[in-house]
Amino acid sequence: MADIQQMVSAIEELPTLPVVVAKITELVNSETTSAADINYTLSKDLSLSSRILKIVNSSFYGFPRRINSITQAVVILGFHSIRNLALSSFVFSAFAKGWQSFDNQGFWVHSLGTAVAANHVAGLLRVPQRTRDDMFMAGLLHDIGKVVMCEYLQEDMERVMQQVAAEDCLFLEAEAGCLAYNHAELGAGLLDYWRLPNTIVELVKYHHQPQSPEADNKLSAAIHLADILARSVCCGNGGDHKIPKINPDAWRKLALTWDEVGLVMDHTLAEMKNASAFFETS
Amino acid sequence: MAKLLQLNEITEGMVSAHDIMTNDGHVLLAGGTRLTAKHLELLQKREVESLLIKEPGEELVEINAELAQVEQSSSSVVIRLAQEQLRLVFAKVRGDKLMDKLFSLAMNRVGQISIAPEGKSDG
Repeated sequence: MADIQQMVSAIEELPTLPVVVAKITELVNSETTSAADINYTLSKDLSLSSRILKIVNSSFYGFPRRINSITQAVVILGFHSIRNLALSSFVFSAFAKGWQSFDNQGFWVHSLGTAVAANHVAGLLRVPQRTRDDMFMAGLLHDIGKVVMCEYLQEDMERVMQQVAAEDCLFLEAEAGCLAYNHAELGAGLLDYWRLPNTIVELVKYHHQPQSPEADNKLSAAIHLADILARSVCCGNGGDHKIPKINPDAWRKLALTWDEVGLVMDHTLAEMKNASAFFETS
Repeated sequence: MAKLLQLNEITEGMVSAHDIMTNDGHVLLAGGTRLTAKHLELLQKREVESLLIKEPGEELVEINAELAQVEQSSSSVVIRLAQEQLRLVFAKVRGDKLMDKLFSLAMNRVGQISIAPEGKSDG
């Protein structure tokens, strides 16, 4: 990933992770962190805490009673979910402006749809809750490399989009035709630069290559499937109007039934109907 | 049920329940017209004595039925568009065993799929 690292560090305007979000990410990875630590850190950024509480209290979560404090939210949702909310909130607000060649809102809807689907696929794999939360985050960020391209590598982006339009192909196929890198590597490079947990970085990196020997096969397979499931229910737009094939190895590794896949699609459709709070950045 | 009212009982805003024809077979006033002062004047001039008037409840039922019809036809348009979109999305992967199965699962859920507004999305 040396070249990608160089590329990422060469982008001067690249936003850094806000101090509070970086601190939360670090705290969540530590065994000795308490709810009070998270609360203390978040209390330094009132607008972030209020955005988090707004999403927590939205119909996306559908809690029967109002959650009034971050401490309460941490206790109910767990550390990883709070980190996810802090990170989502940051990326949505940092990259919410319109892009020339790309539908910004459609992009984030696709990303969130993938996150929701990834969380449910992970649920079927019976992984611990914190892994499910990592999967949600990896789903949300899986295409973040495309954001970097839209924002800082416009020429590359335009070439790819022209090819997508001309050949009605996948974004990934167009990239392979005209660039020396792809959005998955670039996204992983950004997340590495932000020092996000390695699990998430790797899942983003291999979401189109779940069979790669370096990938955590089962989880990469799950993100790969989640991306495809979000597309199969026309959830947003990741830059093209096509759907990649499910990798047969990934499918075998996941060992899911089609009924289970249908269930993930149902959950994704239902939850995306309540997702508008995620996109309110103020 | 519509009720028969004498012309002097009829006021503005009531809705006629049937066509009124002239002697030479032209429609003077179509059924379903909401009557204005002008209409009443015309009816008087033509010496129409009574008119079947729609009951307010009846009107509402008709409007609701009409609305339901519009909603039904627009939701069927939305479903057709969503089906069309799915066919396009899956166009290049049909014939693949896994993707054909996924396509049929997606088609079964087509009523819940909301289609993205077209426009700037595809650059």
